[in-house]
Amino acid sequence: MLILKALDGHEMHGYDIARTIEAVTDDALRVEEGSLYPALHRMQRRGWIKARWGRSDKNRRAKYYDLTEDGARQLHTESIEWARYTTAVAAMMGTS
Amino acid sequence: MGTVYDRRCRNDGNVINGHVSVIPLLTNWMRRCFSRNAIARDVDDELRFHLEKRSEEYQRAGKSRREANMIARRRFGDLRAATRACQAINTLPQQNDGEQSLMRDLWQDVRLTTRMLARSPGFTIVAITTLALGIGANTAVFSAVNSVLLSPLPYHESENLVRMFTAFEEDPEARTVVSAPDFLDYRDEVEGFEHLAALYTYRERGLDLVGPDGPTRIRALPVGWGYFETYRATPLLGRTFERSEEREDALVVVLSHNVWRNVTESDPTVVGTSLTLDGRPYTIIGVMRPTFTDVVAGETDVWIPQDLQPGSDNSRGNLYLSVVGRLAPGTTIAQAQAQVDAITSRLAEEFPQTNDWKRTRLVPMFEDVVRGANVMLYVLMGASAIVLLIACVNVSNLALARGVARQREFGIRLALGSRRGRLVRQLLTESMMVATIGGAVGLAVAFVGLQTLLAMSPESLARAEEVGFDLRLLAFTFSVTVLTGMVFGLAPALGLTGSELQGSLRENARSVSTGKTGRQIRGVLAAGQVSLAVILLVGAGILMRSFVNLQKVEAGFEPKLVTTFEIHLPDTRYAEAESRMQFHKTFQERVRSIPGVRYAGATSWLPVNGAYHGWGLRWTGPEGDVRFGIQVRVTEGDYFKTLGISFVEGRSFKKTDRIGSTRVAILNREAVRLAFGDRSGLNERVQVGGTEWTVIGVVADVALTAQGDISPKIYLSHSQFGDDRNWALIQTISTTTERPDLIPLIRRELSGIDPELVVYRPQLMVDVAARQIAQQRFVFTLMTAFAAVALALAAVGLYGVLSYNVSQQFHELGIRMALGARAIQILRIVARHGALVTAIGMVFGLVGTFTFGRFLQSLTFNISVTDPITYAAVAGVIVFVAGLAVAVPAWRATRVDPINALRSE
Repeated sequence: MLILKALDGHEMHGYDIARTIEAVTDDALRVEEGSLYPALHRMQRRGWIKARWGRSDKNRRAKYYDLTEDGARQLHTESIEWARYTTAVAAMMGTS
Repeated sequence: MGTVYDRRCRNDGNVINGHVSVIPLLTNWMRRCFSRNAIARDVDDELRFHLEKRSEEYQRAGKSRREANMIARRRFGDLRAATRACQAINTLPQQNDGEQSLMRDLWQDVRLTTRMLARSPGFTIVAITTLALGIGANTAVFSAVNSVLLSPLPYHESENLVRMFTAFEEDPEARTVVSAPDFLDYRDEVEGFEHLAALYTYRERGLDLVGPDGPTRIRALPVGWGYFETYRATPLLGRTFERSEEREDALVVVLSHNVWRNVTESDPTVVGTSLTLDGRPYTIIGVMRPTFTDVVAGETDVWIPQDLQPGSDNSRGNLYLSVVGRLAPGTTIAQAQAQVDAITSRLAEEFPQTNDWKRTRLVPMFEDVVRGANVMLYVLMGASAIVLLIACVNVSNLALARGVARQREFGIRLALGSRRGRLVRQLLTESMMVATIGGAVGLAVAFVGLQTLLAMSPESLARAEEVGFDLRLLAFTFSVTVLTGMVFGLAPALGLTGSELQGSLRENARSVSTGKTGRQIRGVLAAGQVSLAVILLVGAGILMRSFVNLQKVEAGFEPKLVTTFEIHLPDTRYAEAESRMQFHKTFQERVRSIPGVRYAGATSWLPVNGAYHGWGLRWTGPEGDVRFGIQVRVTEGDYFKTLGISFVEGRSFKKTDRIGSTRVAILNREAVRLAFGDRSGLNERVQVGGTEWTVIGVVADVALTAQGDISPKIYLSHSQFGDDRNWALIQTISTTTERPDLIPLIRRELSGIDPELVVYRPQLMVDVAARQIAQQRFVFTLMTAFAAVALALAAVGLYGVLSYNVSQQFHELGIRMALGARAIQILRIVARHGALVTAIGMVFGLVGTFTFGRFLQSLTFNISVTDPITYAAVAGVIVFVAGLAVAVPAWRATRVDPINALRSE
């Protein structure tokens, strides 16, 4: 879900995705990078994200990922679920 | 939170490793080989790019290039694993590649499962052992069911085989033997039979064969023409009987393969030679094949012709033949029955005195042969199925508990995009694999179990000699295994599909089973186990009580210290009644001289062995004729004394009761009651077997069957009635102490009188009685074993559920303790759940028993299947065992240290 969110609206390569997640979540959710790529490839196969090979800032070969329509839908569903969950947890935490 | 996330990711690597290995089908493999390198290069590029970027980042922060590279690598984690995982994902064919993808997934699952199972050997061993026991027991019992009830009889076109019985107007379901003249009429006139053949009914028919090692007695079965043809059995050598040989003086014999091998040493030229049986020279006309067995008559050594000529035994009133038949092609049993009925009516008109109360019925041979065995076997089948079900539930509960530990793994796989269906399949593959190994081990268990089963099985188990392994059995085991895997894999799989992704990612996520639903599922499963165990316990309890009742049967005699054996006097050397009488007198005299022998007697048929020689009694009293069927027993010597049969009044036979003197008889009480009511029968004259007998004594009733049935009996003296026929007397010898050496001593005495005579079938009277209840003992023993296993499994199940709950409630219990709850209150919380589960299980178990109990009815004796004592006892046992299963977890709950419990949160 975090990956999808990071890609929402931006085309990025894997390194940037990792950085984005770190930055946005204040390093609280440190993705072990080794597991990021298999996840990306899997999502690509499922059609949630698409990839293209491009050139990076230093003209190196880099693979860029972007959200597909399916991925956007998936992100939407998961966001709602997540919101429901956090609300529930927050409510719980608030009362205790 | 961070640490957890990390652990999850490492796990992730493991899981993905499982997907690395692919066994693609060849064509695809070829195709993919080209692209594989490209994929590998792309993945390498992508990951290297990442590392470089990360390294640059650190270099910018002031690290040296080498240091930065190292940190980047460390931060990345397992580079090789990630590389392989990415390559694998891209090399995999699309999910919807159909069959091939299924194959691949299956292979993956199997590999993954193997690793999973190897990683938790405790679970694997317990699960496999439990299932192997369940599957093994089922396979063993089924193999008996298979051979006895499901396999056709071992004859060509056996579905056309029938048996013919005499029934009676007042008892149309009877299956009695047939008279020779009736049989001949049916054989000659009914067109619906291809063959109809008669064989001698009584198993006791034997002949003495004098061989090089002295005399032995062999089983000889007199059969009529067409007997072998009915079974479509052809001889190995020579020929079978002809119609003209159905007479007493036809001295021809057909040898079994066994006798041919052992006695005539497989001599191929044996046909036409002579064999001396009972001192008479028989001409060997044929040898049967080793494959031929007769399911009706049982094991036989030689066949001799059955005399079917009119006269002697062959009157319409003397029913003594077993009849087997083969329906003509295209004839149904109903058509044949109609033809038989037509002749039955004609005979009833023609011979009203003997035939107007007779009916003749045809029964498929198969149905007749398995009749006694099927209830017993189906009950055992049901019992073993219940054991398997309990085993499944146990393993299922075990798998659920294990689900706790695996929850995180599945959560990660779901998070990384595994479809839920895929995970369910993974779970099912696991349960299938456990079941398959369990099944394989179970087959071995079954093999051992079957040997035990057969070793224990009563003689009365029909077709026991045919029991063995075959394809159908393997198919059965296979289906049971698959079913087992499905059943116990289903619960955890259902639990999984109910779980929520986030739930499993929460740090404190314990399990699906933590939730109320999970706990309920486990509670229900445990209750189910309890109820199944209740059913088996009640069944075993009722069978046990009936067995005890059987042993308590008032037999009316004392079997202890009594030895019995038969002596058959061949007609050739003992043609005269006088010589036979003399033999028995001399023999018994010599036996009495053996030290330690108290009494020596003989009878034509032992008690508790059922009916034999049923004749009719007529007494002409003041109110007219009284008639009833009566069992005739011919005795010699101290028969009544050896068995401790007491005299009610009158006297026993004396030496003066001989041929020529007044014919005297002793009645049992039942006969006196039927004939004379309350009056004494002494000195009355009764008609039995065409002779008038004066009653000189009345004895106590002795049981006719092991069930304690009593029937009217008349005892005659061999010294007076030995001229009626060559009675095969069974000797009864009572001793003062146990004498295992008695038989050799008796043999010596016997050979002193006639060296060619055989002490046939020596056995203790207690064994004679025990053999009659062997089937009940067999069923009861197996049921008890099954019930014990079921009880143990159910207790383990209950224990597992409760201790699991305690561990789940650790926190809650800790808080309660901290707030000052006393141990007894904690105990109550845990015990309440256990009690609830037990109570629910018990209620359903009792309901189930009421429903299924009636199937047991035919196996019980003197006890109702709703026997309240049994039910109360079972309830007590369940409460006791459940109490034990509850006590341990409850005790542990009271030991919860509140500080620890709270800290661990």
